[in-house]
Amino acid sequence: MSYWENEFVGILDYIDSLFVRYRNMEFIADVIREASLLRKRVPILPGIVAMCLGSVTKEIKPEEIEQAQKYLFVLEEEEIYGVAEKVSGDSVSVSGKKIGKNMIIKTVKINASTLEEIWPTLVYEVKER
Amino acid sequence: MKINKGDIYLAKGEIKVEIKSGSFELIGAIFKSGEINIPEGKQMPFICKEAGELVPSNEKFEKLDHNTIPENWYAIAERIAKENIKRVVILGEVDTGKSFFSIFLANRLTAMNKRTGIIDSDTGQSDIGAPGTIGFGIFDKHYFALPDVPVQKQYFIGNHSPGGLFTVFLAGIAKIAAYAEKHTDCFIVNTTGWTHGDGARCLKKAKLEIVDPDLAILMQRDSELEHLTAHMPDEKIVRLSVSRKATPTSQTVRKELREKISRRCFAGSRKIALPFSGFKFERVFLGSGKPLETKENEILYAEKLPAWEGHVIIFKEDTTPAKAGEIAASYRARYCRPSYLEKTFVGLADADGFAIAVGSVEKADFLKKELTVVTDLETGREGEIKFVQMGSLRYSSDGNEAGFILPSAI
Repeated sequence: MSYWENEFVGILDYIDSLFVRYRNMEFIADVIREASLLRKRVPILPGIVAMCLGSVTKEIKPEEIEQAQKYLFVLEEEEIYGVAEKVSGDSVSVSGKKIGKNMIIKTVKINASTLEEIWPTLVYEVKER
Repeated sequence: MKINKGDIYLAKGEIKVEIKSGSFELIGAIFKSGEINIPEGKQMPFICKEAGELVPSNEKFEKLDHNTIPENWYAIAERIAKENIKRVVILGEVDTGKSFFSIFLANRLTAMNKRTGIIDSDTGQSDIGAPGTIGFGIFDKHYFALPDVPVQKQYFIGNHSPGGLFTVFLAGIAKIAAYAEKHTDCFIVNTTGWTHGDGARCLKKAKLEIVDPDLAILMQRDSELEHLTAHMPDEKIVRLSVSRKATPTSQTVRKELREKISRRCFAGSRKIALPFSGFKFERVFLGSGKPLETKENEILYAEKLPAWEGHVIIFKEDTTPAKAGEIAASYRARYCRPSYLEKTFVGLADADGFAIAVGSVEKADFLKKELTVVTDLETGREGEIKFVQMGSLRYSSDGNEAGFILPSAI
């Protein structure tokens, strides 16, 4: 037995966990894309990237769903990922499909500001090579 | 402000306190004059040994009813001196007073005529030496702040955390410890507060193996550090309860403290031009291959690296990132444009691999084959630079942190 000398494994573990927690591949791809962006922002500190990734998916309450924002809606039988086109008191329309809020088990949003929130002192402009 | 013998006051940073008269114990040493600057986030008790006068710069100066320095601290210093203990490592989480205790110990040992040094391995808050370095200083007299201790040697790490740079960090510890071993009666290794998780366990265990301390001092609230010294016999371990006065420092305050150090380091800096022929690049692939003629107009400079490592390509500045990426892929090359190297934090190392100064790259000119660096290097020491060690951070020429460099980019 040994320890992980490289904290990149934390990022890989997080990606592994996505496949256990979610079924929607488009949503998983967007979360991984966010991981990749974080890695570009703090390339030398994968431990910080892994830490930020823990907060990249954010569960929100049905009353917090906003129009024009992209969400993953976890229902009993399926997961629908898309922009909330229309939001009313008891339903939300996504990709032309109306979902009753009482059918939603969980609503998840991708938070693209985790570095700003968790480690604001490491927020810098990323220079192109 | 008149102070009576036996009175104890606590100064809370940021504050300046001038000793006008009398005699005061500060961090284990007696001072009869001087001006003490206590930075934001730090505290210092003043114990009056002979009545005198102090002038604090603001009201963050309060009277205490007891000495905040525990009695057993004095006993540890006595034991180290009496038993001729040479290698001491101080371990503790962040904000547990490790730096304060190191100064206390060094001051007490210096008072007992022990030639004492401190290795400051907290690269995030380099108190001895330049930022991003492991620094080593010897107490030639008493000091109340580590930044005042003259730097004997420093080893460039190039980042404010050892995370991602374990081998560089451990090589630095080994080199500095070997130097300290030869030049002191006793040296104290002040460590980072990174004590938990895989990386921390790896690094701390390796550091303890390298230094092989005669005494490990655990500054802990409960038993949270015991895993680090489980391999050591109990007689080589001293456990200290963390002072209630140790105050937590926020991320922002830590960054401010770091930048204060780097701004001070860059304050008296100047530009120097270093021809590529006069030094070797370190910690990059650049410079380790054979120059290569290429047909692409976008390429300013190219090298073929040994074995299967591919190439290094420096593109002309007006090459688009997309075009650079496309050509680089066809060569399996590590690449960048010259401007990508601007502001790179660098160590200017001597023939022994110790940093004689740090700097920030102002320009990498691949036509003139010259690197312009903003540095605080003393005039006349340019000839000692044998290696330019490329760091992982960017610093602006005024010493503010300005981002990261992608590892292995070139």
